[in-house]
Amino acid sequence: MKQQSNYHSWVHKFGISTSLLLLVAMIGLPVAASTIYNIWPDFKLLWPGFVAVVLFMAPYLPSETIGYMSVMGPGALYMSYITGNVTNLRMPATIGTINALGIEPNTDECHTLAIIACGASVITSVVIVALGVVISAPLAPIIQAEVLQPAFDYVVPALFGGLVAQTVIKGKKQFLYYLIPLAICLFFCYCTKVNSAYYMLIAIAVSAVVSVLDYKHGEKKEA
Amino acid sequence: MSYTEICNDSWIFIWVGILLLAVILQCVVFMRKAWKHALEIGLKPEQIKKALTTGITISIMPTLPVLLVLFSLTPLLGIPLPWLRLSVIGSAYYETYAASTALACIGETLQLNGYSAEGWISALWVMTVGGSACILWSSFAIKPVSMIYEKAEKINIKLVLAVGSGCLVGIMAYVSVSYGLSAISTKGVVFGISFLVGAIMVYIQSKIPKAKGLSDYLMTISMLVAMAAACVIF
Repeated sequence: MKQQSNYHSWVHKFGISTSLLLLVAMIGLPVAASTIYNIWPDFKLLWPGFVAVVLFMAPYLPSETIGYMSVMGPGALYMSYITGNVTNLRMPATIGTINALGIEPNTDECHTLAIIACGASVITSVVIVALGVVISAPLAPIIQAEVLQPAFDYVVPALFGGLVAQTVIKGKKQFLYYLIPLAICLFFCYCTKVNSAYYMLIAIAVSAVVSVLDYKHGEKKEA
Repeated sequence: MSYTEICNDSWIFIWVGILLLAVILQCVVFMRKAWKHALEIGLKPEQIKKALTTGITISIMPTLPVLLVLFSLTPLLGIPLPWLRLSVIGSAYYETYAASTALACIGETLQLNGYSAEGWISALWVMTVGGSACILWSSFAIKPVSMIYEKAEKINIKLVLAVGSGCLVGIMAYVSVSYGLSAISTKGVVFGISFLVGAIMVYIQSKIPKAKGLSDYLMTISMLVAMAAACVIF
């Protein structure tokens, strides 16, 4: 038990310290560039740009952290926030893994394997982009071929279709429980102008309540 | 001075290379520790290896569109800046927006050979500092949120597991709409084909015990079939 608690505390300490170190290295780049070229931007003109960029992602930060915590766990989330693409790359890699292994979400096993799956995903992406930089000349015509454009345009929906099927088709009851948050998301998407980051939280909360009610109902039956 | 005179300087490549090596190092340390912990809590080495290979195979195809954005941004911003931003934090949708916004603030436009070195420096500041907000967020928010879950586990673990299952289904509903059903005639079609292929494979798996191994390839097969279908349909 103590070993387990040491591991969890290490995950946070290592995650926070390395994130802050990488943040310093990231911010150091424009500082170094401005110093080397002696070109400092006019921050009085530039501040709306910073605000616009932060506001662009602001709604997704709390909703992803709260929503994905149960499935990904803290370690995988620390890694994901450094490399980005949380929803379209890291989360499917993690859920695909726990589905393939039949691991229950929100367990120590799930969060530990999430670190391995997510780490593998991050390294794969970094290596592919680096390879793209090195061999951009011969690779560009293939990737940019007109005939292949739709495949790359729709790679994310193609990824999620199979993932959703594998996750929700586990029985009639589970599939019915999927339809409830699905209806909520469809309502917000087509009938309101609410940002998707907010209705994601609502759908997750409602789905969690439905699951808890089902658990309570099962408990009562057993008693 | 034009941005083209500074945007591909070798020291920037070195800086970006070191930063990306640090990202990989962080992952390797995390994974080594998790691997050890996985064995301690009774997971089998085959399960851990499967987590590793699944993480890799699922990530290959969705990373390719990032290359498309890289190729399109390289003439506009040089090689190292898009390389850094598309590897760390950045996403395909976000980077063009950040660069254009920064240039608009100083009255310039993101166009080939069409803005100054000062514009490039401004884009660099906004893309790296503005984009780093999520690292700052993760450093301060992940631990408290995780602690709430841990406290709840001590009270009733079964209830926490029920919450976890519910959250997973909620996430699936959200991605179904956000990445599929929100545009039924385009991405909805591709999502539907992938879902159908996945559902057929789940059905085969449940009916034929020998086909259990299909789950390892389910996502890859459904994704490739849907991508091929997209090429035919659109």
